[in-house]
Amino acid sequence: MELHQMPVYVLAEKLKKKELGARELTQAYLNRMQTFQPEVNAFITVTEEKALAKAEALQKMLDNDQGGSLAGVPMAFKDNMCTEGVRTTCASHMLENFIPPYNATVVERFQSAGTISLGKLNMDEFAMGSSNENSFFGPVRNPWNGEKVSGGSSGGSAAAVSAGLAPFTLGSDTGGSIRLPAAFCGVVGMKPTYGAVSRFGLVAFASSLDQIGPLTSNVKDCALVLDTLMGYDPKDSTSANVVHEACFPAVTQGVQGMKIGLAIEYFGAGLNEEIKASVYGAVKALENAGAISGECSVPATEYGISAYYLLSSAEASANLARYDGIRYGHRSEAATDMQELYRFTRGEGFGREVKNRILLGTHALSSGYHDALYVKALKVRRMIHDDFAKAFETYDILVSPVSPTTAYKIGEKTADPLQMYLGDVYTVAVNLAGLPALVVPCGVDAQGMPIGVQLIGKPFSEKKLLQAGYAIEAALGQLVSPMASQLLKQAEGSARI
Amino acid sequence: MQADEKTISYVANLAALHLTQEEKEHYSRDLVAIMNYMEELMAIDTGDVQPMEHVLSIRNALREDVASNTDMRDKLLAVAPKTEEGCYLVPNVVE
Amino acid sequence: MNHEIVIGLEIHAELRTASKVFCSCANEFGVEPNRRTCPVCLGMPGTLPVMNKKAVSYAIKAGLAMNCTISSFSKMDRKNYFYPDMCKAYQISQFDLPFCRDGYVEIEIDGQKKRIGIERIHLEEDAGKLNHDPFAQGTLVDYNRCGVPLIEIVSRPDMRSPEEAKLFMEAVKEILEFTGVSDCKMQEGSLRADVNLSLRPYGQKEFGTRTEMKNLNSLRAVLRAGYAEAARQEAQILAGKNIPQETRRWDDNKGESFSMRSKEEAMDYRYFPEPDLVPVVINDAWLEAVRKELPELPQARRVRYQETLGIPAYDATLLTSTIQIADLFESAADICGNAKAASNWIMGEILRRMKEQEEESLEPGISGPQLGTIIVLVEKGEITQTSGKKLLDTVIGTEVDPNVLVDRLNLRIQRDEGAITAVIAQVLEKNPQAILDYQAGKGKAVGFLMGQAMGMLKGKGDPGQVKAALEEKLKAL
Ligand SMILES: [Mg+2]
Ligand SMILES: [Zn+2]
Repeated sequence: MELHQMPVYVLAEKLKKKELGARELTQAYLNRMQTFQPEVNAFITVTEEKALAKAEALQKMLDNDQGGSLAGVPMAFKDNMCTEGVRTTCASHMLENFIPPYNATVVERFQSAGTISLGKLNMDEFAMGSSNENSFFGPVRNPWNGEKVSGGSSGGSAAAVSAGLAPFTLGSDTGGSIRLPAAFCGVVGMKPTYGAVSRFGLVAFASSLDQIGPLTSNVKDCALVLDTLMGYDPKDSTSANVVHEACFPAVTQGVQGMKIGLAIEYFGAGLNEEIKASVYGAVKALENAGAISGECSVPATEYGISAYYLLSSAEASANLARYDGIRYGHRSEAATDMQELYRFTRGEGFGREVKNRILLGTHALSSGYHDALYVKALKVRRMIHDDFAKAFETYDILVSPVSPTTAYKIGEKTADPLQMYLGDVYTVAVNLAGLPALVVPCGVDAQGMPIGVQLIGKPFSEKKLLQAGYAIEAALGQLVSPMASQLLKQAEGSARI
Repeated sequence: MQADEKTISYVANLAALHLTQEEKEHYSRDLVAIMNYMEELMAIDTGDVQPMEHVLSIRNALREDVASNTDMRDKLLAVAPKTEEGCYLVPNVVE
Repeated sequence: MNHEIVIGLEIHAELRTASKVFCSCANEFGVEPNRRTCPVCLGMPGTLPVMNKKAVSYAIKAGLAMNCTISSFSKMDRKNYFYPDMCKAYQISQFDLPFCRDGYVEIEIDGQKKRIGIERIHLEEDAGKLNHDPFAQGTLVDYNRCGVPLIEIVSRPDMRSPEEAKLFMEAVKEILEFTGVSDCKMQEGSLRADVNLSLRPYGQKEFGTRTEMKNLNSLRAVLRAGYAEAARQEAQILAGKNIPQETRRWDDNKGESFSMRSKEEAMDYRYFPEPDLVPVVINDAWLEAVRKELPELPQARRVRYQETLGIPAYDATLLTSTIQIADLFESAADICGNAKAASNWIMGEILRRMKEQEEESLEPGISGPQLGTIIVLVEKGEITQTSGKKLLDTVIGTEVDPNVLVDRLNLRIQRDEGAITAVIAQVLEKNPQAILDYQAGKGKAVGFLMGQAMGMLKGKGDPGQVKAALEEKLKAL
């Protein structure tokens, strides 16, 4: 098996047993990047030198049987997680040259675990988008078909794993930003329970919805990465002070007797038939493994898109107000007074979709509309939350599609923001309710594009989701993208064990 | 909603966003479509449902009043586009 | 005035915490620009606020001291507007669920007590400072103050004259100082007020249209701005003009105000709940813990000093000028058992010495037991008044027990009859003229001889004893 096809848990083992060197492994990924990064555009910044230096240092520790649980494993961060000394752009002209003097808590956690960062991953600007076409650094291309979108906003995170450019990555999910690209690129992605992962150092899009999560090639890796990711952080007031039971050892425990709910609202008109069949196939796999399924209803989720886009944009309008050209980031050269400094800096620094959301969010909070839009959306949010809570009185997990369609052509939806928003119809309610959700590949469509299934759980039931996800993966198999199957020529330094 | 240009201008002003005439027109178009879709919210009877700003039940995430004087000024100023005499420089603010 | 003046105040007070409200930068004044900043208070991307518990406790304390109801459930909100002194372009404040509401503060005007209602007290963060440097190509921004905790105390429109507004401001200042919540250094901007003022014909119930005067930095400015604004509004009314609702800025140098923005231009702050912070629940245990820390407030102390300690009203006011003085007085009075004497010593000696100090400090530099002991020594006749003052000078700034010092400095009164007799003999021998004067009936001569004798005794002689001995000797000549 090629190095880049090995699961994280295998790599970590081999590194500890010294069957594999950290430098060798890191170099193997950097070599693949030379060939495939220009094709997928998954990375905004590749930190080759830093990665090799880190690999060197970690190898010394490994040689002395030291280093954290993931010592020597390469990975990459979405470019909205602050990395000290490495530019963090949020895929925006506004932060094109921003080098944070501090680390995000998740960055610190993975540094302690001994991982090696390969660089920063492409994304939709400020995580606003569903296709990764809203990047100042250009769109991410789907490793399954370069003409198609990767999904967004964590498109780079999904594509990098799918293309075999990183063993695992971290993404962030505000309304589906991990799950949608995971489904489009045929990888595993998890949005943890709100509060399970620290947001400190994650550049805020919508504070009450944002959550960081892993993207991996398989479910066991997802569990392993999650075990390092989750945990209380006193620097984040919204971080839950709970002890997280380790997920990795429990992944293979099976789904015997697990109650699986199919919410009728998620299988209605607008859902592609191939996707529907594929998701039912995943349900069948769970049943075969001993789970019991039944129908349920979460009616208020029908209004999820409206509530989500109002609330996330409202919060974003305040979160993005700080980009004013004074303390960091882009500053307009054209400004002659203070008002112009604000208006020109922000007008030049933000891309089209970001401005659209700022306008929508500012409008939703403005005098005269605040109650009719913002407060109304907050009420709908409660209704959605309560609907889920009711469904979870009966079921352990809800199963649904991730997206009404598989990955579409680049440019196909960019002219119509509303059409783009409607693609999030199955993912946004999860964020509004603060629930964990796992996406696992469950098939490919007639065009050969991956299909994912979404498993939604009660708060802090990540372990159960992973057990169900593993059962599906065990039955249906992992997906491997054509790009990941593609090996480098020996001359390019492909390594084989 | 009326996402007419007057509304767009008002909102852009609140958000301190400079928009070109062309931008105003297309944002106005986009927002009208989005707001029309969101009209569905008006039809929902939310009755006495309480707004939910946060799903969390966490309360009192508080820190002790301890000052840690790590002076990062130079590191922080280094990131700023324009500084002078240890300060951030902005165009003259007329009060 | 042909109209009744109606005034409401919004007072901003910086809290005396060690660290800022949402980060651990030190809350210090007078530091080099931007030396007290960090990624959190600069609102850098991805950073998050974490609330300072002490700041909440201080807000509660201020609320309790001003007779407010403390909310069991509160939250923070974002108030959105752009200004270069504010890093996030929103201020974290409280909108609909402030920590404290519905209280009052009492003032005394023309011998009458009057309650001024407090509508609410909420917690928020202060902004940075803009410095206009004539040599720089623009304005320099210093964010050291950005994120310093503030409470905003909003009064009801219960004041009827600028004088009342000033008294209210003083009362609030005194309470904040006594509770230790704020140092209220107005010259440093840690206490500032906005004055809302309107006029109405006497007897009319409805309020007139009000104007808001921003950021008054001294009690004098509150008074002057109040009178000037009342006069300006009355002139408008008499000229048949409307008073537009607006925000105005007071220029203390010019003694007049200028319009900043009208109601139509009023800011649309788009308040919404701060999603980076969680609600604050104040339970009974927390409330009681804060209540226990509440000192007796100056108004109550003044009443007690007058009624149970027999201190005159004026003196009681001086003794309650700061909590340090009030506590010193009470402790010293307790030790010496003589409140009058303690009061005299503090007003005559301590306050004068504090005023003469080069560096302004609220600390009198002496403890209650130290001062009480000195008073006991003087009152018991162990040392003279003069020695007492000398002792005081030595004790201030130290923790030495005056009892020990008395002997070390050899200050105890000289009662040895033999020694006194010897001194008097010497004095009489040296001053024959004075004896002649005495015999000629000039009363002054005794005083002169007394002074000589006391001088030779280095101020330690008991004046009564010395005088008696001297007169006896003179008569016998
Ligand atoms: Mg305020
Ligand atoms: Zn700070």
